[in-house]
Amino acid sequence: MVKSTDTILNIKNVSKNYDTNQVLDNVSMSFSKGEIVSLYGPNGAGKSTLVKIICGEENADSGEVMLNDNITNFKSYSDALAAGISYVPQEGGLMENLTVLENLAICLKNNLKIKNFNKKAIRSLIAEKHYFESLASLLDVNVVLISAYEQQLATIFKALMMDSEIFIFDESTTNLNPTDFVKFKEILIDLKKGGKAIIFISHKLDEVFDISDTVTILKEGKVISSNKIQEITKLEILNLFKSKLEVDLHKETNNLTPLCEIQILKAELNQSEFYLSKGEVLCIDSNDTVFKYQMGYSIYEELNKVKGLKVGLIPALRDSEGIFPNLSVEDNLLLNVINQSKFRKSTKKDEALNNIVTELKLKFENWRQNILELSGGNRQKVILGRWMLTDFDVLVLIEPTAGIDIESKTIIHNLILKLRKDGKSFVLITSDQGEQEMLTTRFVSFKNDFKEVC
Amino acid sequence: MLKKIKKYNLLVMLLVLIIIFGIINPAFLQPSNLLNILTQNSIIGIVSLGMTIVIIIGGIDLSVGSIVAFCGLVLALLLTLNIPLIAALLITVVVGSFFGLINGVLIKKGKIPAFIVTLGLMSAIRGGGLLFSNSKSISIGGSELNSILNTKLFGVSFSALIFIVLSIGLWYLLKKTYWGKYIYAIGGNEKAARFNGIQVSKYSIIVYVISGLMCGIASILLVGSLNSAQPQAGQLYELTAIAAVVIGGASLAGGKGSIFGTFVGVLILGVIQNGLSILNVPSYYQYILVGFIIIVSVLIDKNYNTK
Repeated sequence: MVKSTDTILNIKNVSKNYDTNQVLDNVSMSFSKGEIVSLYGPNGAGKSTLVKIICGEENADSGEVMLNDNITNFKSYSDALAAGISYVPQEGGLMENLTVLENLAICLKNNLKIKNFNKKAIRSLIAEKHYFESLASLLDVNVVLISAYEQQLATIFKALMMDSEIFIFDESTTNLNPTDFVKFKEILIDLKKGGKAIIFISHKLDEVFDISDTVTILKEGKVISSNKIQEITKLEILNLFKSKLEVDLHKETNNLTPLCEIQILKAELNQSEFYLSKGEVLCIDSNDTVFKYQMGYSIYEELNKVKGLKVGLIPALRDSEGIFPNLSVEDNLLLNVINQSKFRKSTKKDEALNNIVTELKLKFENWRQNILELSGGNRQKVILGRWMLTDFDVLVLIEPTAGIDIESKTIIHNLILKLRKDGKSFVLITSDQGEQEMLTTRFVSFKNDFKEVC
Repeated sequence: MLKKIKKYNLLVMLLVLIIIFGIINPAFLQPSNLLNILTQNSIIGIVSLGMTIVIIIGGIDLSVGSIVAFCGLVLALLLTLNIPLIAALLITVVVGSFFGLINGVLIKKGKIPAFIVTLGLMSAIRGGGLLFSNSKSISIGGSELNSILNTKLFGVSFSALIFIVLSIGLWYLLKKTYWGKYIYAIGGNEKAARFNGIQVSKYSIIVYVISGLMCGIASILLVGSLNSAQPQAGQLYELTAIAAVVIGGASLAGGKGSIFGTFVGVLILGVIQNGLSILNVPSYYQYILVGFIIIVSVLIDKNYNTK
């Protein structure tokens, strides 16, 4: 354990159970001023629960959180914010019907207690912060109209404007591209120099190694190691989770039968035209994240118009576009096949469902369980499983593994590779460089106004 | 397990009410009175069944009371014109369904919020009814319809039977068919439903049509029991129906609710009304108690959900 005189936040023997499920088991750690600590581990390891306890959004069953040697007793996040803890969640955190500026104004007004707080004052306050440049043109745009990635930036900036002592980033970088991540890193280094404590959660190991001073690894609710970043290697961490790709990556692109032509007629998407073959993973790439995502949704719509072609979509936002939060695990899986008579026979249905569970290594307690009780990685597996039950020809994948742990990620990658060998086609849109290299058999990349096909 | 407790919760509330009223006045517990409660509430009950699926898809239907009144006037008019009963009944339910179709199409194709569309139709249909009836009630005399509705099967009235049969029918539709799953899916996450190829507009419109159809059926029972149609009938039906659905565990945000819950919700409201009338309690106490029950039932529901 790292102990220093600059310790600002101390977590002592914190445990937490949900019903019979122990999420945190006697966790202790400390965070110091001017230090970036990464929490790393698979989904369900307890990282998010831990930061929620720090922020007062959840209560620990036992143990305590000490801020500057005082036991915190936060009733909600607003108490934590008042005490100098800023929290950036993975999704949400902005009011969609308001503009970016109004969102900032409300947050600042509630927390900085500045009087005479008008839009002009906020604008000048924002102008002082150099990192806002990238959002300058979007200040008066409603949040619902900006992309997931821009929303994430705005959420990060909103947190940065609070002059907190501790900043927590929970999967805040999933939608950032490498260039933005470099800027994000600069901001963090500034904060670090200013003596702030930073807790960083990411599933991207490269980011973790790029950014942190200390990496603390959680598994099944326990701290299994905590090291200075110089003292540990990526390989050592990966070995802790024993994940390996099972399928070797032959990228045999010959002998492919053409499946269909895709014509995108939307002007804002360059009116492009390309083809898709059986058994390939076509990667649509662009340095413009928003453009890339729009392409994904448009391709899905276009493919849907092709007669006799069964097309599926894994959307970018797992929770707000993918799952049905009011339905059980079983219903979420069966939704696309429930109108087929063969899935009404319980033996057939059970067989198909059990196959999915083994193939995806889906972790859950029972079929009637609500989908929201599953971890992020398992929710994403359910969305993939839903399409696997159908006899799809093409699956459009938009950020299929964003924000999920390395184990789930490997499982999903292996499945895509296997399905591809079975002759299924995929259209892939991802910000994950490694994923792109591993899965893709052919690229269509867009740069500014030109289309390059390789 | 929690779900089961929640279901029983509602039944416990109903039983407690029945027991309390029974202790205060044993006459309340007589089978004839209890069956009477079912009969008296079958009309609003049928309207509430339609409201349940509308609320599950995340919508609302404020026009139900006006549709009931309008359909009633249509039925009475047709009967006074000596049109065969079966034809008159069919036309009545078609008119009700047609209003539902207008609601659904305006909401889904016109992309106007359900609250606004159904508020508009509530007013327009009420006005239309007053216009074509000259704001007078239409009497149908001692009709065939009335005698059919007065027939009893094992002591249960025909109206109550229709309510029960429709409840079972819609329960089956919601719980046992893919159609019902789609309804829950649309209410839970409309965007995700669209991304999974569910025809959101089609199913939503069907839901509003069913709500209109239920109003048509309810109007038949109303006209049959009163032997006349009133242009002012069905006032505040929308609020009573929403209350029953909400007491039954539905969420106005959509995605949640059940026919079983609504059925019990209707009975809870009916028991309060009947019990207090038997005790000669002035009706304003009823309003207070009903308001209290609506809020408490949602409060209990919320606390079970957030663990």
